[in-house]
Amino acid sequence: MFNKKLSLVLTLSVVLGLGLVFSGATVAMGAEKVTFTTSFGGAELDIFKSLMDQFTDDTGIEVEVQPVSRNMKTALGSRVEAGNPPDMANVPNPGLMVNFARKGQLASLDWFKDTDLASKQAGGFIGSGSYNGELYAVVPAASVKSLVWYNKKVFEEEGYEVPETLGELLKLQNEMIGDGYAPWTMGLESGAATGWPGTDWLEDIMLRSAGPEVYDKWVNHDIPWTDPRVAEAFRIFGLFANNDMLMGGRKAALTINFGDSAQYILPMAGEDKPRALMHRQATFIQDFIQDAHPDAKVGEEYDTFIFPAFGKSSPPILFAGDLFIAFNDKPEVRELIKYFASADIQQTWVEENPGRLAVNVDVPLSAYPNDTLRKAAQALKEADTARFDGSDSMNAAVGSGSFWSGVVDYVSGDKTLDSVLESIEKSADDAYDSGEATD
Amino acid sequence: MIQKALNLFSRIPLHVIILIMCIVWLLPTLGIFVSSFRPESNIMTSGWWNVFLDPTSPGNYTINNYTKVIFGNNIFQAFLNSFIIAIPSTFISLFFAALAGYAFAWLHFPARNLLFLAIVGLIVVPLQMTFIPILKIYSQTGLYGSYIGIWLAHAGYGMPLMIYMMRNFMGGLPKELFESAFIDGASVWTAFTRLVIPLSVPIIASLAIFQFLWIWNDLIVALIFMPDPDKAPITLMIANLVGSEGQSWHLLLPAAFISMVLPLIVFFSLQKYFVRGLTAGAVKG
Repeated sequence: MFNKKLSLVLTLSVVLGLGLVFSGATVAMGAEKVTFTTSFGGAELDIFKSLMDQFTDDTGIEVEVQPVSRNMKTALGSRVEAGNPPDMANVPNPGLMVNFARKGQLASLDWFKDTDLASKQAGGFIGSGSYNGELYAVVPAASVKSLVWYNKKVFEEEGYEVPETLGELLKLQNEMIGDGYAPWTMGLESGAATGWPGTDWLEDIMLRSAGPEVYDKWVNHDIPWTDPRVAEAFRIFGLFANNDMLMGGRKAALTINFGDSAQYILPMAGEDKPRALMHRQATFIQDFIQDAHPDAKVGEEYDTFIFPAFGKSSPPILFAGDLFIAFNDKPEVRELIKYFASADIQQTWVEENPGRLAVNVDVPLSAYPNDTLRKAAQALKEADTARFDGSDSMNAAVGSGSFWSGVVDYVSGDKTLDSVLESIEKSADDAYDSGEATD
Repeated sequence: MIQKALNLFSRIPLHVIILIMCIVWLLPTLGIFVSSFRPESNIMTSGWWNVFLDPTSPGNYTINNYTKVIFGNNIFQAFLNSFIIAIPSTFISLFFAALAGYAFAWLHFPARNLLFLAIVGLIVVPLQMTFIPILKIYSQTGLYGSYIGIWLAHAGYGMPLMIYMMRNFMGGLPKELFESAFIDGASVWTAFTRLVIPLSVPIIASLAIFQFLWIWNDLIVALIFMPDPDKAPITLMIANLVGSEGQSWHLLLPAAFISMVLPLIVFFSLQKYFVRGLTAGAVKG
């Protein structure tokens, strides 16, 4: 009796076990399919999927889009470490790409340099996708970060001019205070990533005050954080991020969520004056402004100008973008990369997903839905100097860690500038294994 | 009579404390619930308590957020996927945990205590540590991305605690029952099916609820082991409602309540087991 039942159980488990091995095996196969892990979510994911459907219609190559929202690092990292990566993925920061590339986990995309499409890439993007001279990422779409969103109506009423130098900007914000406005609204809160909006400020300033060469050295940790040029950038940041210039003072900047902070450049419901006039943030923030003020029109009530240059030159541009990386080099993957690098598809993308800017220079400015985005796209296309978001390119322990908390400490005024920079430098020494300033 | 009134009076502080705790506990949930019915621009610009300033104004409420989540996505497929993942996972882990609990409690075999200790030790292993090795095995065997793979993963993650609870509960059954059963000629298997299982219904039911709810609410295991969006559970679908810069986060509010419906039904319909099960196995026999 007992043995009979037991043997039945054993047989069942063996059958079950075999069954699952075979059923699994059929799932793993499948010719020509490309798997793509993406961080896109919500509306942008829907648009991204429709672009993929178009690709499948055109080429017959199936693409399985695997969204992991904002858990890219965990989800992709585990799969790559386990030797089971997807064919492709988009990562938002070069730091993560370099991490994979250094371990030899990425497929080289050097073949892309030989295509016509490579010469169509706007300046700086081939560089952002390279590591040790080898191309590992192609960037199809970007966003411009060096933007100041401002209340156009008040600017017109008060006769404010859009500033073209740092001096003009500093003069303008004093003028605003004299007229009873708070010049800036700033929101640094972002959950575990609190502080990142401040890093964008510092990158923009660093790129202007110290220049692109020093900026690159800073990102690579070839100069220490205690370098006087870094301290200078923090001090310039302090000219904006202080109790006089910020709506609600430093305290508000530390507690307001980055997504909520932009809405105050327009009058809130039941108020006739905006609480602040300017907000420095990337193109994507327009979604948040529009969500809070559904009836506001961009270009009429609010608009943008490029964060001004510090000297007489044209302003450098800070940008971010989605890096398309490949883990397997197969013909279908190459097709997909070429497809996303082409002008046609990028044009569709920027038309349907406002806020995204094309990297291919053949995409006409007329493709953008409004002048504000057109201005940003033009700036990206024509900038003499353009750099990828520095904190995204730094070692994660600094760029997504001590740099963030350093900004918070500096803005709160709890720590002196020297001690803020020393503590970032200390973490950089621990985290970097290259960089001339690493002890 | 006076004594009774006095008793009641002396318990007032206790009641007040409990009431305050309930309010503190429920307030965030209430906030999410109220917000989920507010128009997007209101959510963005003012706190949820503002509805109480003008509670009757129809402009303060909308069901748009719900319709967007329900009709903008394949939510029924996601619900179904969650069932397909949660039910077999719960069943597999319960079945094996009951067998193991019985064996550890009543069968004699070499190194029994050592093995039991090892399993108890597994309770404290964080599941993040296991992702890479298990993914490696899965990709070699083809289990990656299959339902069976995620069933086994969930079952494995839940089992150490379940075995521990089962063993402690079953160990508390009276020894005499087993003695008389074996004298009457029952085999080990008969004793398990006819004696242990019927007597262990409270612990089995409560562990089933625990495990089911845990799997239903899980995001990370699905994220790692279920790459195929057509097979992904509702938690993953909800996470993907938000843009990469946090756009449209307000859709999370109604989505949270939609996914909460089922756990609430499970909880309330099986509540009596739940409460009983909490103390089961706590006092070891």
